[in-house]
Amino acid sequence: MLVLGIESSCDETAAAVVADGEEIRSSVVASQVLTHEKYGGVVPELASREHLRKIQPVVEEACRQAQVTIHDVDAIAVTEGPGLIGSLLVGLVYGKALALSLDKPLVGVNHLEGHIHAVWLENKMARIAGKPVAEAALPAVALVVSGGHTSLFLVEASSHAADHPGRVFTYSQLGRTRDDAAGEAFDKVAKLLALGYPGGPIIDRLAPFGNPLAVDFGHIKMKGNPLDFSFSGLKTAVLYRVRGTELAKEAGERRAWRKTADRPSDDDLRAHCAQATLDLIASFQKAVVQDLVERTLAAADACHVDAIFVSGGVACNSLLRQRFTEATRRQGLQAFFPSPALSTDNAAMIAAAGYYKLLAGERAGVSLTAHASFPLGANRM
Amino acid sequence: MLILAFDTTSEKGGVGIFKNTECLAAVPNQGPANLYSITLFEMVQQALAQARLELREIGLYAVANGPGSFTGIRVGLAAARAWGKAFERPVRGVSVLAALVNKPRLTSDWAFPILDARRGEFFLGCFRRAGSADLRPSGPRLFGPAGHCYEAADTGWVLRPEALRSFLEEQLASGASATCLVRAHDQASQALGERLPPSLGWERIEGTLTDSIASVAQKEEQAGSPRSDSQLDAYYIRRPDAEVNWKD
Repeated sequence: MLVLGIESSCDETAAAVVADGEEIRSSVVASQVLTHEKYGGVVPELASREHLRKIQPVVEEACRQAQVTIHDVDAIAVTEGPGLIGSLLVGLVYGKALALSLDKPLVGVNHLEGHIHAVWLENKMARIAGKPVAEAALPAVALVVSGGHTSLFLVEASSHAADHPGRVFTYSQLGRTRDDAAGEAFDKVAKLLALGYPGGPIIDRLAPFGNPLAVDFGHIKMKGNPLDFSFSGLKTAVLYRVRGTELAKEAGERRAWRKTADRPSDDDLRAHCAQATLDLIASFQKAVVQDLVERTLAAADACHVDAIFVSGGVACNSLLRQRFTEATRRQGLQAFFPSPALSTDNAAMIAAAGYYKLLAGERAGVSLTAHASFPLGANRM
Repeated sequence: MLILAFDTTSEKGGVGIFKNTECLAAVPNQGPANLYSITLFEMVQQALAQARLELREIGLYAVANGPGSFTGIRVGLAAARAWGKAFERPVRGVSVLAALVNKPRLTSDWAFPILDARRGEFFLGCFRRAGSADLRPSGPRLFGPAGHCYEAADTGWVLRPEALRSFLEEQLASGASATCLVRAHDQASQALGERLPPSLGWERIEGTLTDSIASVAQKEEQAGSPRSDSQLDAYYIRRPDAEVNWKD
């Protein structure tokens, strides 16, 4: 079954063609980083406008790369939420109009479910290709961590009838951020320090040049559900460390320099950062990563599972990958990450998740619409 | 030619199917403007059923591309592009301002469609009778192909009431005749008329604009006007707040 996936929940317009939920025939992503760069974050109205300009060329390119026409596609899967409502609507309406007009099955996919399926999809592809990788077996605890989301889920699967190739995935939410998403905290700290946008990858590249033990941010304490996250306090702690100090003056100078510098290299940027700034960045990153790893491991322990899936844009962070790999190895667990291209927003993950919903008989109709807030699974904690 | 015309730029939108100028089906929107991602599809289904047609039989998709509700504009354009793609049929974006001017029979030199833009502002279009002397410097002709009674003399504007009034008074002072066009449900725009010179013509446009949208699109298609990307982009007029308020 060829599924066309469409994703437009935030600032990337994406389309992909995936065969049988296990073979990516094409995956096209039009990024809006340049549009939002000067604002230091995603501007919803600008994102929606860009999606409208890009949606058709991106879908056409996905079909072209997959060497199919829209008529060859068997079904269409679209992201229905959560995300920016104006952005979601562009992809969803485009996909719905295509599907209903061509009489193709249509299915709505939760964006977070898509991220979880990115792990599953890539693992499946690697095993089919004969690569020596462990099976991403279920049940698993999944951490979806990006600029818009930081959530923990227990993912389970049950088989359909014996003669049915499909599996039914069920999700239980174990924890979620109560304020900023981890990626959002990275972006805001990078904006405060005038490092550029998107902040996560920049901090990831600069942090190795700083001392992660220079600033002790302590552990983030949570009342109530210990598997919830909170990063706004950490972000504010960085603000207090900067405000009224030499770090603020230096950030101001860096901001002025950045206006004249045309896309500075990492080396140039590092040359414009004092050691104290690099130390602060490294310490901040360590605190975020430590919190993500510890709560995820606690979730795995509480749910008695051996597999941990880590997905979303922040899953590209090299320290996060390193710490997860080390910690899971120590505890006899397995950590699974998608490649960077499938960690960030993409439509292959939507097509893959949609495939299983289609196999399970799910069909959306005229009433399918977008939801800015769209919980995945039931709350377990 | 069978035309599917639709307007999702305000709650007074709707869907119509036309065979040239004959209306085969008309479904006015009954719900709020923020549900077009669902109701547009329902209205199209109803219109197709009324006309006893299938979507694949449509020869031209005519969609209102703004100004109006940003989200509504995008819903209409996204659907129009997908339908055009699905059946390899042409899609024409038509401005609501051009549709307003195309609706009644006017005799004045100038036509000024006005829409409530919210926030105490108004969208204004500026159209002059085709072939008349140029009364204003001409801007880009976004939606005024040959064959129309009126052609666009400039792009649209977002104006505060006082700026709008002084613009219209300036036009009248030049000796030209002018008609303002407002939608019947648009009370904010109609209220403007109470403080404008009585010599200014005033037209209240009733009902949906789908017939006019279909008509403008058909004329453009028959005239072989190029289908530009900008026509299928949204005609927002108003810039995003983030751009307006940005301080470098």
